[in-house]
Parts: sequence; C-alpha cells; structure tokens
Amino acid sequence: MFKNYIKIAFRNLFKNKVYSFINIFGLAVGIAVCALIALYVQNEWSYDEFHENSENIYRVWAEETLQDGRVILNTSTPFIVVETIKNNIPEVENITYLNRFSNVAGVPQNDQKISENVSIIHDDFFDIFDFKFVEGSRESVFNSPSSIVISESAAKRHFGEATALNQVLSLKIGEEFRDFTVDGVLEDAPANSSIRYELLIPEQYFEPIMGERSMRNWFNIFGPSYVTLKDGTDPEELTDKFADMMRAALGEEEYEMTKYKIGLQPLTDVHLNTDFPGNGSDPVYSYILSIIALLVLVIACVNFMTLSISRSTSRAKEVGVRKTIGAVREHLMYQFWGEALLMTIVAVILGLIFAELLLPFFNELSGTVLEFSFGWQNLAVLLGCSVIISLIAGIYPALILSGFRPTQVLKGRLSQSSEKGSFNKVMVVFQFTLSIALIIGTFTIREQLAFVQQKNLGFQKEQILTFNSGFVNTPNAGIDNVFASSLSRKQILESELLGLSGIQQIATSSFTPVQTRGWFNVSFPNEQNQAQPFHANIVDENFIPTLGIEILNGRNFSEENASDKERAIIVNQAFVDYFNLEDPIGKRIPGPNFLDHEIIGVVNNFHYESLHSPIEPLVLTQKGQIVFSGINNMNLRNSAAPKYTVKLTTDDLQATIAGIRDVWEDVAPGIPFDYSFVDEALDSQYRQEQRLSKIVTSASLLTVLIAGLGLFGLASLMVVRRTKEIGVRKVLGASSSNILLLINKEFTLLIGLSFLIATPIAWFAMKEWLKDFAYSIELGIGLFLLAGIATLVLSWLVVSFQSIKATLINPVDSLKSE
Amino acid sequence: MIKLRNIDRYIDKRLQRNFILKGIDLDIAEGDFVSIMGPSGAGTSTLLNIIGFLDDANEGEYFFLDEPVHGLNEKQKSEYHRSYIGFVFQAYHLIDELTVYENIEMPLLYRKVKGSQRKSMVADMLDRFNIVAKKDLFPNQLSGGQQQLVGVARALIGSPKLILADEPTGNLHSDQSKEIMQIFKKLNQEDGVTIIQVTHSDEMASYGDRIINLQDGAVTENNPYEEE
Ligand SMILES: Nc1ncnc2c1ncn2[C@@H]1O[C@H](COP(=O)(O)OP(=O)(O)O)[C@@H](O)[C@H]1O
Ligand SMILES: [Mg+2]
Repeated sequence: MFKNYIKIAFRNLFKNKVYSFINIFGLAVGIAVCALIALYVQNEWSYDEFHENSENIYRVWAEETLQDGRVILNTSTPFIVVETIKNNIPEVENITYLNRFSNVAGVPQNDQKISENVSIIHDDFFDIFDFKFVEGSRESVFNSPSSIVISESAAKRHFGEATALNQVLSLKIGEEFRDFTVDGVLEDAPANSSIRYELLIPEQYFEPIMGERSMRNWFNIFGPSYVTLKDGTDPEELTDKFADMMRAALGEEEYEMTKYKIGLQPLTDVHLNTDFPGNGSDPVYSYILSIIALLVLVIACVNFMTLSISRSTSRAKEVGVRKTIGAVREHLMYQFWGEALLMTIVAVILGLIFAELLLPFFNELSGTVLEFSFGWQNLAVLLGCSVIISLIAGIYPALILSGFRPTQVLKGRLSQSSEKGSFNKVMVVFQFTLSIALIIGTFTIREQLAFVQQKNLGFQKEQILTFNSGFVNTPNAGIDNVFASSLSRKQILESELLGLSGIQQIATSSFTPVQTRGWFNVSFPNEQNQAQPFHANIVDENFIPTLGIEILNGRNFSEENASDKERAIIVNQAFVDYFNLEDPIGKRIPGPNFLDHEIIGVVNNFHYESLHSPIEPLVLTQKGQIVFSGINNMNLRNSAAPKYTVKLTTDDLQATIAGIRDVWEDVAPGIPFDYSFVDEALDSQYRQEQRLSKIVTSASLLTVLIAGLGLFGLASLMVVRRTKEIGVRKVLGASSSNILLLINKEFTLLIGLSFLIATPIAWFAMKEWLKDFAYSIELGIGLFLLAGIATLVLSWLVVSFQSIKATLINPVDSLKSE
Repeated sequence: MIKLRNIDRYIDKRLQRNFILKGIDLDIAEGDFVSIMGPSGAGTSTLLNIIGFLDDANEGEYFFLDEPVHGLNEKQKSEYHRSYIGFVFQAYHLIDELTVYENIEMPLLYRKVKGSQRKSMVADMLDRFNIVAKKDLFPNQLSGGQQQLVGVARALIGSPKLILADEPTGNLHSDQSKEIMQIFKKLNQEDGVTIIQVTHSDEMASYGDRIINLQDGAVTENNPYEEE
C-alpha cells in the first residue's frame, strides 16, 4: 500500500511539473529564509552563553540621580568600584574592570605605529571568562607589570605568522611609549560575545593613562566591570549590601543627594536588554526577522493549499474509485498528507541548499559572520519541521480531498463548491495583503533613506576629510590646553598643505559633523533649577567657512579681533529660539556662572546630530572654559580630542590624500593617519535602517515572488478547469479580449481587496517607524497607489500569461474531450 | 440478498421536493442477473448507488443479506466494498497515474493481501482477460474496450459476490460490449455471482435473467420479458 502511495505521489509530482515546481520551489525559498533567520536569531539569543560559568557572571551597573531629578543608569562604572566591591562584598568571587580605549601600538623597532584598542583589566578577567589561550596559559599571564595579553588577530597584525609569545610590543602610556612582553595570546572573541578585546594590559596602567583623580572618583565612568558570585549567591540578596557599601564610600550627605545605586545584571542578559545602555542589539530585530521568515513560509504553504485544492478535481475521480473499492477516509488522508510530506522533504533539502548558497549574501545583509553546522540533532529537527510544514500545508487539502463522495465525483464533473472557492479567495487575499503591505514598507523605507541622504544638512559634506590631531585629552592637561597644542600643529600643517594643489582650507575642532551622537552635551540650572540643555563645540575660526555653514546674523570668529579667542561665542538659530533672545548679538548664555563672553554671530540650524534628533541649541567657542565654567552637568558620547577637517577641491583624491599623508608623517611621526570622508561616515550612521531596508526589500521580493508563482499556478489550473466553458463561449462568439477579461477580472477583484486591507496596516506600521526620525517624509497616497498598481500590473502579467493560453483554446478540441 | 421497501430518494429545493426515486420495492436474490432499464434521468444510477451503499435513501428500508443498511457504519460499508461488492462504471474510472497492473492490484492493497499472493492473483486476472501484454501501460494508452476490461478485472479481483455495473457498455461498440456481457454471463452462471447492471440497450439487457424498468423514479415494469 505504502509503495502504491509513493508511486502515485511521484508520478503526480512529474506529471504536473509546473504545479510541483511552484510548490517545491516556493516552499524551498520559505525554508531557506527560515533556516537563515533561525541561524541569526539563535546567534542573537546565545550571546555570551559560551562561557562555562555564564549563568554566574554579572555586569555591574551604576545609577545616580541628578539634581534636576533625572535618573542616569550606566553600565560603564567608575574604576574605584572594583576595589570597593572586593573589600566590602565577600560573596563576590572574582571581579574585573574592562576599560577599552584607543591607543597606538607597534613593535619598538618600527616607527610606524598603528591604532589599536587597548583594554585595562584585572587579573580576575582570565578566571571569569572562558576565552581560550592560543599561546601561553592562565598561569603564565600577568605575572609581571610589563605583561600584555593580545588577541589572535592582533598577533597577526603585529607579528604575522611568527609566534607572538615573548615578543615585545610598544604602547603609548601617558606621554611616552613603554614596552610590554606578550605572555599570552587569546583566541578572538566569538561572534556571539558581547565582550571584545585586542590588547589587554594590567590594572596598574589605569593611573598613568587616566590620571590619579579618575581612580578615586565615583562620578567618572570609563568602562564596565564584571563579577562572578560565590556558589549559591542570589544577586538580589546583595542589594542592601551594595547600598551600605555606597553609603560608606560616598558619605551620608552625598549618598542622599545622588541616590547612588550599584547592582548586577546577568551577562547573558546584556546583549538583548535594551533597558540598559550599551552596544547590544534590539531584540525587536530578532522578532521582525522571525515574523518575516514565518510569513514567507506561510505564504509558500498557502500556495500549497490553494493549488492542491484547485487541482482537487483531477484527484477527485481517484478518491471516488478508491472509496468504492473499500478505502475509508483515513486511508485517503494519509495518502494525501504523505504526498505533501514527500514534497516538503524535497523542498527542505532544496531549501537547505539555497540557504547555504545564500549565506554569504545574508551575512552581508545582517552584518554577521554566521556559519551552518550540520549534526544529527539538526537532522531530527529538519524532519520534525518537514512533518509540521507538511501538516500545515497538506492537512486542509487532505481533508477536502478525502471528503469527496463517490456519487458526486464519479458522475462526471465535479463542480467547484463555493466553500472551497472562497477558501482559495481568502488565501489569495491573505497573500497579496502581505505582499502589498511589504511593498509599501519597502517603498517608504527606501524613500525615507533617500530623503535622509539627500537632505541639505546645512553644511557641505562632500570632499571634506577629517582625521585625529593626535592630541588627546588627559586628566592633567586642560581641554583648552590640548586644543591649543592641536592649533599649533595645524599651523605647521597649514604652511605645508596649502601649498599643495586641491587643498583649500583646514579647520580644527573638538567634534566634527561625523560625530552625530551629540557634541559636548551640557546643561546649567536656571532660577527654577530646571536643566537648560545645549550642545557645544570648541572650534577655530576656519570651522564655519570650511564646512560652508551659513552665518545668518553677525560675523565669524576673526583673527584680527584678538578678544574673539577670549570671549566670543557663536550660537545657532535653535539657541536663539530656545532662549528667546531678541537681538542676540552682544547677548550672553542666560546662566549666572559663565565666564565673561558675548554672542558675535548666529549660524543656521545645520544638522550636527543624525536626523533622528531635532536640532538643539548649540554654542561654538574658541575657548571651552567659557562653557565649562557655567554648567553643572556634562554628557559625552563621543571623543572630544581635537580633530582636523580639510576641505578639498580636487578631482584626483588619491594623489591629494597621498600628499596629505606625506606631510602628516613629517609633522606628526608615529601618529596614524586614519582619515574618513564626512559624506561616507554620515551615510554609515543609518546602517541599521539600511539593513532594515535591505531585509524588508528582500522579504517583499520573496513574498511577491512566491505569491506570484501561486497566482500563476491558480490561473493555470483555472484555465484548465474552464477549458470547456471557454470553448463554449468562443463558439457563442466571445472574442479573445472577452476571454482575457473573464479570467483577469476575478483576480483583479481579489487584489483590489488585498490593497484595501493592506493600506491601513502598512500606514500604521510605517507611521510608527518614521517616528524614529525627527525629520521624515510625509506618507503620501502616491506611494500607496504605486505599490497597489505595481502589484496589480504584476499579477495581470502573471495571469495573462495563462489567460492568453485560454484565448488560444480551439473550441473543437476542448468540446471533443467530453 | 437485496430487499428494498418503499425507498424514496429526493432532493429538497426551496419550495418543492424533487423525487429521484419514489416508493421503490425490489427483491433481488443471490445468483440473479438483473438488468435495470430506463430513460436517461429515470434514476437508474441513483438506485444502483443506493444498492451499493454509495448513496443513502431518504425514506424506506433496505436490507442487505437481511441486515438493515442504515445500521451499518462507514467501516462496515467499506468492509463490504473490499470483499463483497465490485463496481464497474460506464466511464471506466481507472486511476490515470497507475498502470494496468497497478489498477487491478489496488483493491488487494486495501484488503492487505500479501505481496506474493497479490502477484499471482493479478497475473491470473491479466491472463483471464488476455491483457498480459498491456500490464505496464497506462489507461490513456488503451482503447475504451480494453479499459473496460481492466475495469472489470479490477472489480473481479476481490472475488465479489455482487457486481454493480452502471452502463458498463455505454461507451463501447457492439463487439466490445458483447465481450463484457459474455464475461458477466459466465460469472453469473459458473461462479454464482449476483449481477445488477444498468443499460439502455435491449440487447445488453437480454443477457440478464430479469429486467426492471424504471420511469420517473418508479418501477413500472418488473420482468417484462418473463411475461411474454
Ligand atoms: N445530487 C443530485 N442533486 C440534484 N439532482 C440529482 C442528484 N442526483 C441525481 N439527480 C437527478 O435525479 C435524476 C436521476 O439521476 P440519475 O439516477 O443519475 O439518472 P440516470 O437514470 O440517467 O442514471 C436526474 O434528473 C438527475 O438530474
Ligand atoms: Mg446514469
């Protein structure tokens, strides 16, 4: 019996090639998408679980309440927290700081150092985490103060294929280079690790690099801390102990004022918990992707259902015969479900091949480096999935088919009962509602991204180059002093560079427009003790002209005017509006404690943050102290180390950049020339949206493809079923266009209905998405109509391919077949 | 064997009741060869379907082997289909995806007959109907007469006690028709198989022992020839 079923199944598979192809191909695409996304989601949800002890590792968080009542939660911690916890909380077994900052490194004999991220850690790091040693061992590392542990890829960068162990690496500590000996090499952190590292040096270097004050200050935070707890300790139980610890550490008065809290967050929670600040990823993306994968699969399953049901007439006779011979309904259910299972298994195999082939493309799309690994348990999962998919796709058709009564089907033609017809219609509407909604989503997201890219930001972003001055802010040198050093270097640069062709102007500033997450983000209390926020940047007199920022009122900083350096500020229009300044020229920042200064100019509202944020008040000054003197709070999300911005007027970028590099290596030997173009860097700030755009585009292409295939199949079955009717109509005088219209009309109505359902859904979803942008396109009716018309045209093409076949039907042939 | 009493079969339309069969009384004994005749639309197929459990009467009683049919459940009915009743159709109704051999074999699969036994039974049947050479062909590669031979072979392979044939020769020309009728005659006389056939042809009807005339859903003449 089983053999008989298989035989029939295979013969049907080959007999109806179009139908089988549509079913198998559609399912295979759905399965490929599901496999890829399952891989991605699994990676997302397994973050940091590879540490043997992962359940027992925690990240320390710190929370403080500002004077204005705002509560700031941080996962970066003060350095002193490590020592304090060690001394006060006996339940903590191991604890390490992890302060990652950029530095330059290289072998001592080589003058040309490269940029590297260096992390300062405690020795416990190696006990807490399970990063494997490639060279050296747990026992061999951090036994001397000049010890350094590096990652495998850092070892490659500096020593090539040679063994790195016991080699010497030079790092800039404070003002000078110091030599370290490599006593361990760690494998690179796996893709699903939230902790990254390149060069690891012991805790004693914190002081020379960050300064003595930073070591003891509870309000300066640099990096996260991680702890493991002794067996059987519940982190909740430590709440009171942490409170007592903070009360003692800060003193009663400060503790009450800041309500400083310390707590622990499980490491495995770090990646996907967006309640905590940090570089995790939003689990919403996992959900969106999972939903998309399931939708694509469901649409493929729907094809399976509708096509099986449409084709049921040709299987009806078989059902009737089998029943008269003595088959009961279960036999037939098994048979038809078995056929679905067979098709599904073929589709699963094909789908996995697709997935493997598409993996590189998918990795690019999702920004991951994932790989498939096949094991026996995967095989079991796959078989399970096949059974489930075949149940979803096959059970309804099996129910319908096995329910035919022999008296109906053996009499001759089986009329398509209206119930089955409406099931198919509902399914087609479902598929096309999804397709149209996704197309609308695609169009909207793409239009918004184009808008963002083309929007006039209020400054020139093309042919502008930025790079670090090489001077960094240290605790001991004031920001203004560091800025002054960078200005002297700029003068040397200028004298050499302006001679080169293609270089127009050079400016110095603490922040550049590439740093879109905010500049000096400061606030001062007004009389009502409300925080008055604004942004600030320390710039030179070239900044405004180099970037082509428009001066609306007053003037730019000028070298002729010596007092500009001491007491001039320039504000943007948003500043004037926010603080309600009439005749702003000559006015002050409206706070009591700012040093003597006056507004000499007002610039247009150029976008110094991404278009996600509205433009906030901004102060440009040549002397940071003017701003710092009057504020009581500062939030830095970007480095304020001085940078140079160069305006180019050249067609030969390669040569110009090479020219700058030559000059730079003379002026600042040993300091890497890592430049970026402003326009390119700005584009990359919308990377997440671009990724979403690619994903939604691919998803809508896939759903349209699968739904289109289904429509093609349905239309072809419909033409076959109505061959006789069409023949009769032609004999009675119907023209080809009458026939074409007859077939297309039915599908057109369904797609029209899908459009009506899809429009409000897509409208709400896109409205929600656009809320993330402070500057966005208007959702116009045009975009929606375009999506509807595109779908309609596509479906006409697909259906007409079949209905043209119908118009070619020779009535003599079609009527003879009865 | 078959006892129909006052059988009604009707379709309810909105305002009226359309009778397909009305007040049918009929007795058919084991070993009978009965021809049912009637103009198109008289309800002959419906009657045959009711006799074969493919359709149910709305009113009246039907006893099959002295057992009330309305008391049979689906399983018992299909049990009868497997081992007691064989169907032959005007349109042959072979399964297009199966070869001649496989079509004939199929009823045995539902009866869970063992492989080796199945083989010899199908081989016997192919032999008996002289279609051994055609066993690997598909139905659409056969003539109508050959297809009907396969249809008959499929009906007979389960060694049924009752054969229900609805216009078995309706699509065949006379030589082929005669061949089928002779097979039925032989089965009836030598194996004692009860045969009920529907036909429009007097010649085909005359192969039976008894003719039942149906007109507008009612038996008008029972055994018209017998009275001559
Ligand atoms: N399921 C049904 N619904 C409506 N009418 C039916 C149905 N089955 C049969 N009929 C009608 O009952 C009459 C008898 O049908 P049938 O027994 O097939 O006729 P015949 O004697 O030609 O085989 C016909 O007029 C047919 O149209
Ligand atoms: Mg009939």
